[in-house]
Amino acid sequence: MRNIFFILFVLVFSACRKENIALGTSVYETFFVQHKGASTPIHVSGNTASKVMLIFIPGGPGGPGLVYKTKDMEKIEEKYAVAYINQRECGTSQGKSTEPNTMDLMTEDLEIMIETLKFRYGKDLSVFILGHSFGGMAVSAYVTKGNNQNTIKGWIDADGISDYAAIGNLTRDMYLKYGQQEIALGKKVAEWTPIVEWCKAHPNALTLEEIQYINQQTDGEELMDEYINPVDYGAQSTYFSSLSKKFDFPLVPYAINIFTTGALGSSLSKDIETRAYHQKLKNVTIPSLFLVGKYDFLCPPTLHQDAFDNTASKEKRIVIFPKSGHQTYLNEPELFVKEVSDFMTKYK
Amino acid sequence: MMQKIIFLSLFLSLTQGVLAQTTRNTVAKQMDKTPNLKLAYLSSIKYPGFQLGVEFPMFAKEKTITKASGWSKTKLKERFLTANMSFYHHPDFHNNLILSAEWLMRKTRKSGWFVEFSPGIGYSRTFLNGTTYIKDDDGSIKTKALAGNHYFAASVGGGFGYDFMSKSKQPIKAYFSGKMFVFAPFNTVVLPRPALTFGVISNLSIFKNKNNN
Repeated sequence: MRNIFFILFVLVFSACRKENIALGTSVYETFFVQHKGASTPIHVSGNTASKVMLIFIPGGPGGPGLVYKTKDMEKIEEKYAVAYINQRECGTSQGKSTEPNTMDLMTEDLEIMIETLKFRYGKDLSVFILGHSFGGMAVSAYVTKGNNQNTIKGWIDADGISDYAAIGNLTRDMYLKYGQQEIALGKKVAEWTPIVEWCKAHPNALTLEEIQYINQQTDGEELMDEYINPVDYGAQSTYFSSLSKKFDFPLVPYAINIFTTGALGSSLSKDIETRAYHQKLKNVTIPSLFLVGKYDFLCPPTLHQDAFDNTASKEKRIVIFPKSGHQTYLNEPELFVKEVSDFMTKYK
Repeated sequence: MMQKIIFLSLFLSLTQGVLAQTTRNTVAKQMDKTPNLKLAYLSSIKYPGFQLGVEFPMFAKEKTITKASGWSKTKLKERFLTANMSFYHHPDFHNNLILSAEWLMRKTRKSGWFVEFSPGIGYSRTFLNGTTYIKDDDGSIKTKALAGNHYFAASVGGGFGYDFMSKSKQPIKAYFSGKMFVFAPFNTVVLPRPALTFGVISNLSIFKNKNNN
């Protein structure tokens, strides 16, 4: 009986082992940040000895950070470290938030994560943040709050949403532009005609319901697929599958969170609908990089152009990926990695 | 209407004839009130763990069905209140310690084979499998020992096993069961977690007998 309790003690408390943090060139480690009920994992991969780190904030909302650890991202990991984070109620996070989830709460979480990374890897750590899709809203919220921009070397908005209300109208305009173009070329006329007619019938500012309708009814990328580099989802999922086995990825919480966190009616989705950061970007002076796909119907290039124009920084760049939709990191991965890596190298 | 009455009368007379040939007999069985101890290997998805439990006998009934041909079947129906401690280790996610009470319903045949079903409720305490950082009240970042979360745990399970007492007179049973745990609240909903257990059950009276000797 004594042996049983000894084994139990060792197993239960094995989670509180003291960790030796050694910087290295090919590191993979997982640790957690706890704040207001949520336990959020951070997976750091790559060259921590470089003292330069990219924090990759996932989209969704609900997505896990690790899904962005693609084979191409490993090229960045050879030079620098990448922290794939999970936001509260997203990815493989655990616990139960003690407050309704909002962008303000997620910004608080990100502040603590950045402080934690500097605590763990050294105060001289050069930090960059990159947000994809919904993650783009998270980075916009971070850099526009108080003095947060002074805690990082630069920020990257990749196919991000920085002004939710603007998206609907810009998406409608994009459907109208390409719809009319494709109809004139005699391509997919049957598919484009009802979309163009709907857009013409809704020329004014779209309501939230209309925004949701147009995004649910159509897939602009599918209609423009001849112009977009195809993504080999089979290879991607095989690679992710190998990662999830290697890193004991808990698939069930991920699957639940991706469908529930950003679901219509959730506290976070209601909050996102009210958010617009473009005007606040006038206060951002740190190096800024905007990456967007030419055929991104979800977060159109015109949205990013507006964000770029509003950003006060003198060190800013916008790159429109010519053969990409909403996932530049998958449609044109080499260009994505080059832009991100060059940006970090220049401003570290 | 008349047709219905004739049909009903015919049906009842025929079935009465059949029923008369089958007897069902249920008797309350005197249970040994000594608790059973159970020990199992638990696998949650593919992650290892164990389960320790105690079964407290509540009541038992022996049901016998005898047919006119002489064929009979006897089943022992037992009910237990069980107290369990379950544990699994999921690297980079959490260790989970679950304390639960279950209502166990077991049906044992004369051959020794049994099936069981058990709903339960309990408490889950996870321990995060990685260094955990928090921002303290003074604004500094610190590590937090034994970081984890607390959940309400519900479970439902079922399985089968063999009672070695029936043939070889050994007070030991072997069993295999599947269980679904549900932890709540987990993020915005719940976390379902399946588990398989493979273990043994022994009556604590074997320790009593040793002491008496």
